[in-house]
Amino acid sequence: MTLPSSSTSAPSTPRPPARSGGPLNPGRVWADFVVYARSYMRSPEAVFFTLLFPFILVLMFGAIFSGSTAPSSVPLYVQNQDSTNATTLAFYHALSETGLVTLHNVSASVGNMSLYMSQHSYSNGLVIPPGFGEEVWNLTKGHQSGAPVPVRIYINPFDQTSAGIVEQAVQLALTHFNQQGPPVAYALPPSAVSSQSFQPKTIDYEVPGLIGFAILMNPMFAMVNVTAEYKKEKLFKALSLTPLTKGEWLLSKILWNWAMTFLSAAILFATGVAVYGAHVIVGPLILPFLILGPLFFASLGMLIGTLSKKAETAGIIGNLFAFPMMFLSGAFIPVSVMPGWLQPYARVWPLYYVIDGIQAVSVFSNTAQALFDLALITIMAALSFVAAVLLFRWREE
Amino acid sequence: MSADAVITVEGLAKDYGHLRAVDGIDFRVLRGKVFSFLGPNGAGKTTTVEILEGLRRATSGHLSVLGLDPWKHASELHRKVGVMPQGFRFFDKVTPREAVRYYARLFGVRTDPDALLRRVLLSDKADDTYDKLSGGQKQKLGVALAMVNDPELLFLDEPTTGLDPQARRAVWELLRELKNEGRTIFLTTHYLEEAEQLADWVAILNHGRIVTEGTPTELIEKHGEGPRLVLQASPELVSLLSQQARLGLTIRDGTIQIPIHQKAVLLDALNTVARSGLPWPEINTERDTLENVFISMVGEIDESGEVRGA
Ligand SMILES: Nc1ncnc2c1ncn2[C@@H]1O[C@H](COP(=O)(O)OP(=O)(O)OP(=O)(O)O)[C@@H](O)[C@H]1O
Ligand SMILES: [Mg+2]
Repeated sequence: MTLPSSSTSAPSTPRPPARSGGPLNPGRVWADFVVYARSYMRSPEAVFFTLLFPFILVLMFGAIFSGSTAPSSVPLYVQNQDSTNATTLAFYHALSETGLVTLHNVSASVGNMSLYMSQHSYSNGLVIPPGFGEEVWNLTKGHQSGAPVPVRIYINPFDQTSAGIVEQAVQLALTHFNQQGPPVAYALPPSAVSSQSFQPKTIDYEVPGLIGFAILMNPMFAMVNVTAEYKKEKLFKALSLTPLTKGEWLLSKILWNWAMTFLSAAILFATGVAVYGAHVIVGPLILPFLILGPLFFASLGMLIGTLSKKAETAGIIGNLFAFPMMFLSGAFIPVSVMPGWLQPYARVWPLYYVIDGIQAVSVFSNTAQALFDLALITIMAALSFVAAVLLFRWREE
Repeated sequence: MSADAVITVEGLAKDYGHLRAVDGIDFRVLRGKVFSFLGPNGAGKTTTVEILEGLRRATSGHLSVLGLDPWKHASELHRKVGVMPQGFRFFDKVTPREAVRYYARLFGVRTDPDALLRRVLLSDKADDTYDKLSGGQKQKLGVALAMVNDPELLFLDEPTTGLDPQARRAVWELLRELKNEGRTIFLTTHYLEEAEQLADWVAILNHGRIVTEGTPTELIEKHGEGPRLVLQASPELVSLLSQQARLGLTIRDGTIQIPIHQKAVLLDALNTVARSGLPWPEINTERDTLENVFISMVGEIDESGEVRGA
């Protein structure tokens, strides 16, 4: 072997203080980030799943839901301020009998229905004012055909399907409960349809849902794979022989997952808005979801990868967890569109709170709800992160 | 060369559950020497090396590596040693050049990737991703990464396993050079030729115990049979030579073997054969190699280090 110069016999000279900066050295975090990013970007599957797949999903689901096959039953939030009147009760019953809407009662103490609905991320509301029953009764007596009745309906005028169903249901109920009496057709007053404060469309729900999907899938599976594979290939062993610490390694992976999530979210928002005219409120409160969500799912992925003996097992456990979650927590199908009996089960999945939170911000500007979701996610992320850090072993005993 | 020990091990044992993988071993590795750990599969080589590297905790025993307790002072130790783990693997989509740069950043040293890759004869593959490298090129990268921090002590766990003879020789060449630079090398192998070629000191490990140790020459002298005369055996020759009890002949694998501690014995044997007028057989002299010693102590092993018929 020929050695060109003496410099090669001592290939390294110490660099100024590299060690000093406490337990976490930004230089090493960055070095690891760069190498990981490079190898990630060079594997086509990874790039496909991170960047192209969300794009395809939003196109696909946007197409499905903008064709708007109507949900079978629309949830309708009813505030009955005339609940003691027999006619009103008959109307209420008839409304529920139509089968078009599922009724949820709103307390009479709620003053501003519009605000209330936006705070709870509800789409369709109905206010039955005091004296409603009596008025309808009088109208019936007077045989005033085509006279308007004084209900107030809150619906989304842009979501024609949902709006149509609610109007149809109310109209049907008015006619139906009157079937025993003289034939009278009622009309809704021109002011009945309100467009106040929010106009969500399905695609508006879909965009946060798919962002939730990206927050779940990329970080979780990236970490499941990385932990299981590094363990199998003894890469952790190799890395533990360098000054890189477990914490630095973890931080670099999480930084990368944040970068990927932000990118996916941006692609999803942009595609939803550009292609389907999604209405998205990009509030600053979305940011903590994009930070804590990936942190939570990355930690979870690491836990799965660390605790599974084999890489294959880790993959299976990851899928067992991810698949029901992405279908049940509103990533693809908005929870409000799911059958009523299924909806409570959505709340079991951590992802639900990520998606619900982003929807609260981006669809309804509902800060209170978003903060509630955020609080839950913060707790979950903190717990899983700490567990992952504690259980993850850089070297064996 | 001063005789200060870089590694001192006393009564080292390691249990994996009920399995005693290393069973109370003692040895010292002197500065600037190549210390070779020789043993079949499952002998406990990797376990020992990983304990010395601070990757595993010893069950019992006293050890010092460069004056440090490897488990307690792992991170300090890792700055001073270079390691090529058994079955070295790296990130699939990273090139050797990037890998060296990455390690240099982690160690906080300035290293010229080109110079280092040239040393391990990997310059031409500097920009191919790891998954495109051949087995030998991958191992060379492993050696290169072990050298990034300019270590005074190198641990190489089976650095040439799976390499073709040519690549193996290239790695040996490199190891010789590293030794000439004054580095201490702890070399694990089950290639006897490798140990014979490179090692200043050999310890043969079997079932977690050191069965013997010494310089290769010492081991051959101590455990081998020494020089002997070997003749193609024919019944006539056997009966002829057997009459001369002082020749102390043995018959093995169709040959007659006569130990030749003294010239007189050799001449006696040859004269007897010449005078008999029997057909002149093929005559050789032989002496044991490390391989014979190893086989006699451990058994015969195959290419992958498995003991045959075990
Ligand atoms: N992590 C582990 N857990 C349990 N047993 C182990 C572990 N690592 C090694 N062993 C066992 O300890 C014994 C020694 O293994 P070790 O890897 O040290 O052998 P080795 O000499 O390096 O063998 P090889 O030549 O195959 O590399 C073997 O019986 C092995 O099965
Ligand atoms: Mg081994």
